[in-house]
Amino acid sequence: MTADTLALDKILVPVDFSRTSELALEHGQRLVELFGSVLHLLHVVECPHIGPAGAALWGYSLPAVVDRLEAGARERMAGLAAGLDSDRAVQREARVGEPFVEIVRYAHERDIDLIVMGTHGRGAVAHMLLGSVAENVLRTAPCPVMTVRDAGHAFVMP
Amino acid sequence: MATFPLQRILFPTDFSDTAAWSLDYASGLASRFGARVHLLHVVPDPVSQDWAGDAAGVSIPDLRKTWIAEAERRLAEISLSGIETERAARVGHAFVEIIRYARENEIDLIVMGTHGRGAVSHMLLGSVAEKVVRKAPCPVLTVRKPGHTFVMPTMPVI
Repeated sequence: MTADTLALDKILVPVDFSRTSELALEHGQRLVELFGSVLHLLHVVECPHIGPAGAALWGYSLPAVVDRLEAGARERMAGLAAGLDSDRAVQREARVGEPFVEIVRYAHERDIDLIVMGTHGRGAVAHMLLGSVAENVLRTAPCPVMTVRDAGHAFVMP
Repeated sequence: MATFPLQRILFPTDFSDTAAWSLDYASGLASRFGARVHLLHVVPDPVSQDWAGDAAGVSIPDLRKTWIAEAERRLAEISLSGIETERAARVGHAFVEIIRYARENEIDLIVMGTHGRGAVSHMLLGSVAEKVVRKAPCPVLTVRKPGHTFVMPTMPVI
């Protein structure tokens, strides 16, 4: 591989519809344009940690809830793709599961060349935190990972 | 979508094979974006007090100068054809100096290799890379050398 032959044919941007993931999408889209890549958008619906029996107790069906969440995610992803202002094909997928596992699984299945994702730094110790999803993806992804942080993060130099 | 003006790419290197592997990503991106690559080596400073050298009969400031000169010599051996390159060597804590350099030089992207060594290699992200990802003022692309595997869970999460 030399400078001119770096191939990024498939770029995956996992989205959770936060501001940070929009920022990651902007970066991903820029790379897509420059490398002529296919953009893959993936949203992972986290399954409510209640279990079917718990859901039944509350009088609703877990599959129905998950279906609604998935349908909602598909709709919002269609909106994101439409907002990209590009005629390139965009692969969109919503899956149910543990976000980092499904992101890495998707990258394996589709032979993704690069994952671009946002990192959150939330809470009182914001500067100490890397989004745990991003951290797990970094450690287990089969391809390089670009992390994008929301502006507003500050690290005080020693 | 005017974001991500990629003009300056920082490539910290420890002169390892892992770093050499990830250099292809730095040069590949630089050539697409027409960006300049900054090669940086940080010599870990083993002693913080100069008197420690006096006790051993060596001059720590002189040692630092020797290390910097040697690092500069090795950096000069890294050639990126057709890409504008800058080189810098510093003494200090790797991640602190990488972040400091990124800020001082308004770096747009840091590209760095990660190690996954040892018996629990899949658990490890190079600790320098991890800190850089957490503290960097800009996006960070982490590249793992091939050979790393993550065994996907076979059971569905729900």
